[in-house]
Amino acid sequence: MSRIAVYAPVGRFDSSNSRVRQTELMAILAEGEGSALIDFSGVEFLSSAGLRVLLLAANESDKRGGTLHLSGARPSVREVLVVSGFQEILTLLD
Amino acid sequence: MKPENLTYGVNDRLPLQTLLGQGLQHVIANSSGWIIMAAVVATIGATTQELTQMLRMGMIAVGIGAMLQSLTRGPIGSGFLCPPVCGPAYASASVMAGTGFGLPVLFGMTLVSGVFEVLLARVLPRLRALFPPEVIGVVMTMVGIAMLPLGIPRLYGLSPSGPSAAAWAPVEGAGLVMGLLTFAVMAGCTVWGRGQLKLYPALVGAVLGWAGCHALGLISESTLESIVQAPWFGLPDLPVQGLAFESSLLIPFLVAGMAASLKGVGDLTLCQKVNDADWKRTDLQSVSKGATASGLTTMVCGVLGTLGHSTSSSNVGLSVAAGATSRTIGFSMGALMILFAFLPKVAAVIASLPAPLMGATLLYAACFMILAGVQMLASRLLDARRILMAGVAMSLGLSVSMMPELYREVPEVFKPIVASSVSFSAALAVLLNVVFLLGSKKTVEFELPPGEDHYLRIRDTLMRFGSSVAARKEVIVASIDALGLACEALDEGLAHGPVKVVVAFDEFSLDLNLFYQGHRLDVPGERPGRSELLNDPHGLSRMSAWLMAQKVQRVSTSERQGVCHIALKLEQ
Repeated sequence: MSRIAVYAPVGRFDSSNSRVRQTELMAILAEGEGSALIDFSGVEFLSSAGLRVLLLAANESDKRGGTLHLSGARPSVREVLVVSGFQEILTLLD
Repeated sequence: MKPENLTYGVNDRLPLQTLLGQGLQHVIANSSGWIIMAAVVATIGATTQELTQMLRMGMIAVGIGAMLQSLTRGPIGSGFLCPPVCGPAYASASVMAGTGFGLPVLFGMTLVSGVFEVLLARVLPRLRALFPPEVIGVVMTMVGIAMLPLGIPRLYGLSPSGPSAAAWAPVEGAGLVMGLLTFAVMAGCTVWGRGQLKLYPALVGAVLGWAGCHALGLISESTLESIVQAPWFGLPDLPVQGLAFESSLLIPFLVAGMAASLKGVGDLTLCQKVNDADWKRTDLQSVSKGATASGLTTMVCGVLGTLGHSTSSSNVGLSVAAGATSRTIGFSMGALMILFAFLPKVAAVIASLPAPLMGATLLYAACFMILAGVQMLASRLLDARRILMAGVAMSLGLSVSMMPELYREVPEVFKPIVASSVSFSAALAVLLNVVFLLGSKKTVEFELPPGEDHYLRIRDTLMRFGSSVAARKEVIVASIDALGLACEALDEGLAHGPVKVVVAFDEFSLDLNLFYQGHRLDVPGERPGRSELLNDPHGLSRMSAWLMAQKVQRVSTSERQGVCHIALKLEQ
């Protein structure tokens, strides 16, 4: 049975912390053998730098044959994910 | 989202039987407009035959208008149940034209008014600043109040004894009893009714009230005789009066067209509000299409040879009370109205509705209209500016019906404005809203030094500012996101030094202006691709700029003498 690794960042997901977020997310993906659930309920601001981290994570997950799910995004953050077309590379829950 | 109190929302389909029943109920409520037509025609001195002809043409115009208004595709129709009615908006101008120049000029100028209404409807979306919820709330409240002088005397069993609205025959005990009983039946259906009964307050009231009036002898023998004599089928006469135009009547008819449009904005806003549990503000694109349908209906009135029509507050009020606002009712009501124009016997029965029934129906619809207006007015923070705007507009508007002698000396061209409480209140509300807006813009400025993390400062400053000016939360959240994204775009080497931020807020929008030295920010016309985001050195900046533009309603960037400017506008 495969494990599901959960990553729950809190606060911003932008250029101020993108390097840290990228390192954390890659570690979670390694732990989950390419699959992870990102709990975005604590994220209040998502920028292009944050989107870039999610894109890198999605590519990594794809490479490892896993799936990346994202849940709990608040409306303003979900809007950024949808208008930038990220629902095509992530499975948006809720 | 459909509110819980509606059995049938605007998009719902009804069983055929219910659809016809609702249509018939709205025909009955709409017939209250015939009171106004009869009063205007009596004042002009037209013959009974001309009145009958104008009523039948009016029925056809209402039928066409109700269906046009229910359309959802194309540039015509709001998609709401909001049929037209022969209302007070055109009464004053019609009397001027009819008495001074005859019926062909009256019909010709009505056609001109309709064209003006259609043209005005096209520019309505650009006039959003003129119609905030508090102005529309004043108009709706006054529309409801204006129904009372027509309704309450009839509710008390009085009958008009002449063309003047103030001339009433003495109270008849039986009429008073029937008026109050009919109203009690309608109110009872609404408050305690279940299932089908709740859906038909006006129809049940009209049927029981008519039977009661007949039993008590309140329907004259001559009226009953005219119903018996009326043929089952008959084609209305083709319009033979022709059309003529008179330049001296242009301004009164344009003012009447404007009054009808303002009333339409109020009625259609109420339609939007009652059909959307999450309603926040008037959708003027939809109102524009509805006002176009209303203007076309007035044009049809002119061509067919009847008085100008405007949106029917009675029907909107009834749909709210019955909890059935489906646009399909507009089609069934319209079809029945046209059918009845060809069935003189049925039209005669509807035209014979005794005064107490009319009074009960008008009071019933007015209750919902007045309180919907008050609710809309109170939905905004009532600061001194809004209190004065609404208070002055309503007080002076009411003075028109309470003290009409004060307005006798008003020049003829302005008579349509002071012809009714509604048109005067609406004109004052729009004017005072603009006047009181002068100097009401609030601003805050701050500077973002280079090389620092700005997000927390942006968030805290905008949250504080938004709370102090009572801006909508969604607008503040979007402005924080937009400013955060703009700063992230500029951090990619575009700004050489601090960024000065000027935030301005008024009733209609929140404006963010960023000034800095460096390179102008280009906002991509299309979403940057994923490979651009990963591999292009400018990819992050371009994606931030593109996302920023998605958060606002308007964006522009410029550069002048080394100072770059980003202007972002978020509608309130």
